[in-house]
Amino acid sequence: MNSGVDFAAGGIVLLEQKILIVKNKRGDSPEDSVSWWGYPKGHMEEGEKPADAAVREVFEETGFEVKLKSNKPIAESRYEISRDGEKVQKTVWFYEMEVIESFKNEPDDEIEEIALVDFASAFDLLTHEEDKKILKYVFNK
Amino acid sequence: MFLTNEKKKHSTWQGTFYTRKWNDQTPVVYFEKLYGGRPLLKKINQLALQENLIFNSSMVDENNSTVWQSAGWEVSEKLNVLSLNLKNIKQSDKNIENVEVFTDAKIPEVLNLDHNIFDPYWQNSIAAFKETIESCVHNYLFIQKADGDTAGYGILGITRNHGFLQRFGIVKKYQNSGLGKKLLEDVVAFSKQKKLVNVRLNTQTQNKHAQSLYLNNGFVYTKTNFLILATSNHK
Repeated sequence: MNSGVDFAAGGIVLLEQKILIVKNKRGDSPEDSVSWWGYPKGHMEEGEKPADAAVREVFEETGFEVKLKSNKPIAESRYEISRDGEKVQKTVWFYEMEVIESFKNEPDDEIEEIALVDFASAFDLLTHEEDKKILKYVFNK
Repeated sequence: MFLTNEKKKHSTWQGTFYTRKWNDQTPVVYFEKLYGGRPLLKKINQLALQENLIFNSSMVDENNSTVWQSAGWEVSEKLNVLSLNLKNIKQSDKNIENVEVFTDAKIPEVLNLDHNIFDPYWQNSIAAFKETIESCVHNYLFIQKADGDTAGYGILGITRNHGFLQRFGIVKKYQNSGLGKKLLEDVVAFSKQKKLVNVRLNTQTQNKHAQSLYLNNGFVYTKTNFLILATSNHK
């Protein structure tokens, strides 16, 4: 079972000064008893590198075909969640990406809505403080 | 304009939001903020006074509610999130027969039952049931029978390996007869068979009856609480 650590990778996808964010169905976040907004992200498959997982997850969740701007993560988010009384340390690496083709596929089942929005709208929509911090960093604010 | 059956999107200079009728029994506007901060919330509160309409918010995390209150909104209801850890629950091979996939086609059937169970304010509308279905990847309907009569129902939503008990209730006539416990046990056994890690639910802080049922069956409080906020003309 869960040993108390959890790793994931996601994408910071920018297109003409706008950022791609997703509304997740109830499911996999600290306060996920309602749908919540965050960056596209997910877990690595066995033997998969975080950067490759990030590209795959962005495509699966949003239908946007993307490529990495750099192999190094632009941001790392660490936080602790409590899953049924058990503490889990989560680490998510985010990679900056550029769009090859937007709206290529339908978004994933687990995604209620996707949005390509400016800084102010993203800051307002993002549910978690950690994600807002990354946004400020990415937009130099 | 705001008391519509289906959810409507509105865009203003201050932000973007959705509205619909709270439900068919309550002449209140359900309000869901999309983009927009304090200026939008302040504007909606003024609009409510002007139009003589009451707006109620969707569920807002208690920790993010100060902006609402500083814009004139007031707490109308408080909800607690409870969670059941399924890791320590033994799997039963019991055949659960009273469960089926819940789709839009089943809404009319459940709507009637829902109205026999809940107080007018908490009754679901067709639009609210559709949103319930949308909010999880998979949805299952549990029906509790009592001598051929329908005594209650539950809706379990599943995303990845997490379960959400989206609706759960027993008609008044059959309350305190152990049927709620029996239905809850079916939901838990089914969740375990589906290999879920936990089941969560939201319940009103005031509803002590429901809280004790969940707490007596292994659910515990989580740190998350939600508020429903209302415009300042709500009383």
